[in-house]
Amino acid sequence: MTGLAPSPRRDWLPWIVGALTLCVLVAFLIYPILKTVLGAFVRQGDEPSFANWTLYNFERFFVAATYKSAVRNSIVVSVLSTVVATLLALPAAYAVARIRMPFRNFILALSVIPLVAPPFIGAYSWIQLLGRSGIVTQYAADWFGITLPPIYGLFGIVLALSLSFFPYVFLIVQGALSAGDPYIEESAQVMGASRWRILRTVTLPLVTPAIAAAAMIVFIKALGNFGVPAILGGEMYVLPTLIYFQVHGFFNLNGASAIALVNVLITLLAIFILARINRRRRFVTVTGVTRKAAQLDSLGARIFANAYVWTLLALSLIPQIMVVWSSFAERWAGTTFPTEYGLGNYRQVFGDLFQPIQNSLVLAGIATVMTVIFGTLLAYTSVRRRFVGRWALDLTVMLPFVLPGVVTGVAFLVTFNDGWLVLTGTGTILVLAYFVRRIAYVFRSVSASISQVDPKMEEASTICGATWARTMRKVTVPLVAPGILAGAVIVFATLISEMSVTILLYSASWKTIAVAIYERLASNEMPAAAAVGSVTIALTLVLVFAASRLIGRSMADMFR
Amino acid sequence: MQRRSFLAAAVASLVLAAPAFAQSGRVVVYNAGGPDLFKPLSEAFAQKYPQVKIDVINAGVGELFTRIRAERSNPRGDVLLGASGEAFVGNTELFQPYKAKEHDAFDPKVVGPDNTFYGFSMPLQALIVNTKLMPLDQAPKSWKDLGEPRYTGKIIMSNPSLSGSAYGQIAQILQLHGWDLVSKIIGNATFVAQSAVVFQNVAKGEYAVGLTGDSNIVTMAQQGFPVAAVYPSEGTALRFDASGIIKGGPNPDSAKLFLDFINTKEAHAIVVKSNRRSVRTDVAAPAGQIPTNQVKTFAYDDAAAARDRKANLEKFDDLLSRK
Repeated sequence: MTGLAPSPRRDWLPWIVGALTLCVLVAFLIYPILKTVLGAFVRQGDEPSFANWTLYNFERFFVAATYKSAVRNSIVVSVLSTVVATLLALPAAYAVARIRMPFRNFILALSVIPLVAPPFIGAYSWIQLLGRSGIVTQYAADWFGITLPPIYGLFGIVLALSLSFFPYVFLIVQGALSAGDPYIEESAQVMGASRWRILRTVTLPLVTPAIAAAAMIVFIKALGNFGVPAILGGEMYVLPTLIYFQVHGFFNLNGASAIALVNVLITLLAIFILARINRRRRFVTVTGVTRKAAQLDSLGARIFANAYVWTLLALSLIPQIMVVWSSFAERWAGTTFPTEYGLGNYRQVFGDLFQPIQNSLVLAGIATVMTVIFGTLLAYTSVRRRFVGRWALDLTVMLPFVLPGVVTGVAFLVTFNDGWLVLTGTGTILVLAYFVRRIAYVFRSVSASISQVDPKMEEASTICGATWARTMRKVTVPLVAPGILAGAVIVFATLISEMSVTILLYSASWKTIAVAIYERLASNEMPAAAAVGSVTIALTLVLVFAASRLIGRSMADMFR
Repeated sequence: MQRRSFLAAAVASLVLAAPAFAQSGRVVVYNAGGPDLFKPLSEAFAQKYPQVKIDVINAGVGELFTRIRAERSNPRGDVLLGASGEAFVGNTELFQPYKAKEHDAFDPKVVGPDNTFYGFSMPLQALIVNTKLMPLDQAPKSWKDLGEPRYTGKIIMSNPSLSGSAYGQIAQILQLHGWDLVSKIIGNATFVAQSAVVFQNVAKGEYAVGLTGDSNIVTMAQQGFPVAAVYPSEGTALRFDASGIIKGGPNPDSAKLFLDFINTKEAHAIVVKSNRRSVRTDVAAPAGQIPTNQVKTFAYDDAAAARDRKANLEKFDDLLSRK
């Protein structure tokens, strides 16, 4: 790697990096996942081959009412959650990026917390509040005589999902807004355009790729979620519910793959629609500005921004607040409020927590670094290099993200249990599964950012004699740094409490925080689970806050 | 910066890839019986056999069977502990026949063919009633009552496709009353996709009645929730959870040691402390439970239940989707 000195010879580094990336993709993504997905076309237990292919596994989508209604439920739930989450997040993203607000880093760190929601606990909290015997439900009935709509069903699912997934849109879009070139907006202002007109015709179109990328993530997350519909859905089954039935109820991986493919199909449709919206808006704007976008400073704007952002945060943090609250409850059974408070739950879990926390940090940390490196490289390739089959690369990266975790988990378990590479029981299998499931976050977030950057910047650097590596390091990466950071923070935070592949792949020496929570839930120790959950929340908050301050500062240094 | 972090990642993955060194005395337990039960059991085992290191994977019956089947070509676990009897009956090919030391203390009904598994605890299925929402004299008293129109919307059950105990409930109702009653219950009850949601939601007052294992009811009552158990008047099945040695597991000798240990009277005394009933007739019922021989039971054919599982679930699924 002598890429620092200008070299007259051909620059081989991009090819080496490309080949390495390809190897990683083929070995850990394409091979296990594709093998499993192809299983959708043979009967249960058969090996995929041309000789015995069949559409039998898809038959039920045309025959069984459960399957038809699950497809319908899945689409309705994910579309509604995406729309609500996006509409909630956009004003907040604009406020934080463009209006002068105190505690900006703290707000960003807080907004990550809904993403760390320990599995299942969040949904339980909504029941504690809005269920038939919930706190809010009872007070609404006692004081105002209002009967609240039942939390079970579509209303509850969309409420829980959109409030826990809006941070994807918020974080990614505020990253894009902060990176945007202020000159265009200032020109518009100089030319006499009103603020509203600038927002509508300049600002919003410029961040459309970022909004689309973020909305896509919310859509896919909502489509693949099992826990919230399982607890709040009652009998409203979605496609992941059916996948769980097939995998854990019947070990019918072929049937599960078929359902997962329908999930993929729905996602492709959504990607297609979003891509059409996006195509009409292709702009390059980041031209290497060395200063941030101007921030609004008027009193009205600031009052609105603070009120809106803090209300949204408060609402979305309700489940986490409930978790923290119940972690201090010594006795909370059959009454509206706890009857006794104390630290007993923390004392109970104290000794058992260090190992899982350390494991989670190590596994999530390494996986995050991997997603950042390979996700950024792939995003760069996908956006900058025009080549045949670019859509295939996009699809490959997105595939394990679109597939519900249980499918990826089983694919890894079957593939790496014997043969050329045995990984079951190691930490590596968890890291790789995390990497494969989360690379799409960085890929999407960085793609959106790179498509904003003018390729002329990089060309100029190359013309001046810089190698590809130097150009990446000194030009491309610093320019898209906010996008990378947004992706990395999301990956790390969501991996801390990753549940669906962990439960299938963890081994005794690699128990994570999510497993620790699951174990408490399995023993009916809800308050203890809440204590572990609260520690997780606090830890993530501190880490993300520190990271965004530290990296935020060093990123600023990189511009100089 | 990129290069450095890349190197770090490469080194770290090498470190992580290092296989766990095979210790002479080690046993990997796949535990479906709940971590609260495993803790005292493993402590007692460690006291007796300090040379054997115990590793445990805690998960649900479904997840553990998924693991065992996916790992079949190279098994990673040694013993499956406390998974529902129906699941064992239908999958005996995954388990290693082994005649336990205390074989004679077990009723032949809870021992698998060729001694592939031994009964463990007895999760008798009962009605959990929230007495704050529904006084006991108004609560359903039999399986048959669950089909009564007056309970429409008040019952919560778990979907039998995912949960072993939920399938056990449906299989019992089928053997006692047939599909007629099951379809009435389908009209009355909400079938959720998570079995723990059932008793938790009844305890919290979201639903008045649910179907669950009786140890859950006692545990919730002891935590202070206003719940009571009602055993169906037609009788409930003498269902059991079981344990067996996973075929081809990495530590066959420690596996036998562990299985023999959890079959002892001493281990079953620990089981009982967690409100679970023991299959061993020489171990008394838990303090908070009525004695097993006073619970009305009926002759449940678990072999038939296991044999017809797929057909029954398909029909159930069909009926549920037409609701």
